[in-house]
Amino acid sequence: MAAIRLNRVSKHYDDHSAVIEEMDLEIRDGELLVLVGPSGCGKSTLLRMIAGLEEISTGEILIDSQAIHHLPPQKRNLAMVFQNYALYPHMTVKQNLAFPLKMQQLTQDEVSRRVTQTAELLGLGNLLSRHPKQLSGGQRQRVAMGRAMVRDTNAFLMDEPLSNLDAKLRVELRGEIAALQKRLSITTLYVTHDQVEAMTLGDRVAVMRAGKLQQIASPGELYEHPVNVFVSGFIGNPGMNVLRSMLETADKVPAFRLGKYCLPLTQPVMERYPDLRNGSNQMLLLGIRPSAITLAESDERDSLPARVSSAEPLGHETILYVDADIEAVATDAEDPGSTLLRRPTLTVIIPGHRHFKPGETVYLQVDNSKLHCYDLQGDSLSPLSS
Amino acid sequence: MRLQRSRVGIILSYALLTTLALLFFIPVMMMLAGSLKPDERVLMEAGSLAGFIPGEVSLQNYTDVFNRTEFLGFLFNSLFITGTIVIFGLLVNALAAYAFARLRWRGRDLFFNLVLAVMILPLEAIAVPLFYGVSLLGLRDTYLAQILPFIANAFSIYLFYAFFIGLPRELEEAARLDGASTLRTFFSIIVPNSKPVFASVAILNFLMWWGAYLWPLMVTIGPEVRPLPVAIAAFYTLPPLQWGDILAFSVMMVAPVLLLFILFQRWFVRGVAATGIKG
Repeated sequence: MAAIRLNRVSKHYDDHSAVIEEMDLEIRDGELLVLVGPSGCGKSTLLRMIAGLEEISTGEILIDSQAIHHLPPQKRNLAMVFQNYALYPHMTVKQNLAFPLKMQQLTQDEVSRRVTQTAELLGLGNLLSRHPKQLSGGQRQRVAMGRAMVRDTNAFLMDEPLSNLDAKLRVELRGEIAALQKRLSITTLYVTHDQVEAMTLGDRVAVMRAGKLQQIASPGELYEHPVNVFVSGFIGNPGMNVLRSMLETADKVPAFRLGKYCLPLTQPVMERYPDLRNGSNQMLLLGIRPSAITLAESDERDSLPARVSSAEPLGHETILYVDADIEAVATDAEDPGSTLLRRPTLTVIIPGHRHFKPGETVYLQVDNSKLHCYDLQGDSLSPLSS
Repeated sequence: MRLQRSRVGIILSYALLTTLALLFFIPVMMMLAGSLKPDERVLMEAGSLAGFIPGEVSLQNYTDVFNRTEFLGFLFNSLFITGTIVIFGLLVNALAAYAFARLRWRGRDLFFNLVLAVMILPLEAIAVPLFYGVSLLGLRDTYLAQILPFIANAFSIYLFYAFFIGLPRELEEAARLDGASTLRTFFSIIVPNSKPVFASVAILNFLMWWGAYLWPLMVTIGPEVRPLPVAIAAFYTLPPLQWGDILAFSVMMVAPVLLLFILFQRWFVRGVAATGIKG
């Protein structure tokens, strides 16, 4: 077990385009840190740099305060689980598990003992004589895990290990990985593009975008206090709605204006964003989770009318996509304040299995104690998030 | 209509294939039949259908070959020279190809292009400077002169390269993380997963050097280190000229190649398919 530290690590390619820029990151001893971000954000490159499969351009990588970035992969004592498992096709499961131990030149008895122990732990006992091509996807994944676990390593590096599996198996193995990691309490860096995996697995989650770390926090913290509109849009499924809004004072009560709809500023929001007290007539970005929006019974006063674009009834809840007379912004655009060109403008989650006709008018109410406020550059206005 | 046309197509293609097979088979059959006949019948029956039929079978020609030449010595020379070139060639060329395909080093692309350029040079073009070099080293009339210049082979490097570049990189990366060095990764992971290309390179090189004539003729003086192709040429000039004996010599010279092909046919076909070369 060990802690891994990245100090101002950068990666540039020959054409000087930066993949990773000045990254500082710590993976604590025994922690499972999930690195999440959209495709091409540099998360796999970062993992490969820690593994030694890619060179770093500047900065340093430390394991327990010892610099390792100049060492070849075999000298770093890290185990990696690959997306496509990378099992050795010409070896049986047993030989696959034994390979890293043989490289450590352990005795034959010790190799056998550890292979048996790992195989039992992962339920691979009856598969030991099979070759990888005779195994199912889930079994291959277990063998890949086993090969990483079989020896004493500083840390596990996992590069989207579940992305080649079907949805049901993914959920099952996700639980197993979490349980094993807790049981062995081994430092783990887990890379994924799937925010559900990130939220369910991680002790902490690091969100990356375009080679830069956006936020690193516990899953709950990330959900409750995203530092910018990108994180708010990326974490949560579906992501947060972000709308352009004016903070006005009408009848001495400050309120957010969304088209004709007004959302009075409440005490909890004011406590989170103290700067809002003196910021009347201020343009800002307002974040509303799809679950903070409810349907009004009928055309009530103070409700936001919207037209249904489409609905996805999922049984326990229904995801509703609606168009309203408001200005939504894109959370994943290069320029965070840019207007969302894609319609529909709002996503709403309502409980239960409900059907809606496209074009139908619905009336929405927003829980105004659960608002998130960002400046026009997309950064959170909360001092807690900075 | 469509069915009929395809049937005609099948018949035509089979007819063509049969003709081709016969064209290739006729000389082999003549060689085999001739080697089993008394010498005087060989030339007499060559122009007729009887040329393909041994008639009364006799092994006299084979006995003659052993009596008149040091056949076993030549066979050993051929096996030793070709075998050594093939075995060391596999090691050297596969390692070179791996370095080109996977390792990062300064000048790699330049060197690889040079290797590709060497591929188009026929032996005849470099035979004289090579001969000069071998003479300077005092290697004339030795096994080494016939082996050393041909272990490294541009075409073999290219075939290995083409195969290695297609292997999943993650296998090697996994091995590196599992604690294997570059060489260990090569021998434990790459080689066992590259059997088809090893087999095809081995067979192609065996065929190439088993039949080599020009170079051994240039660098050998006496019969001691001469391989079979040079020996059969010398045997042809040895009076009295006996065609039956020459054909028996030919059969024994071709036999190891045929045997090799029959034994490794599966690998050969797979290897050719894997490396993408035709015919």
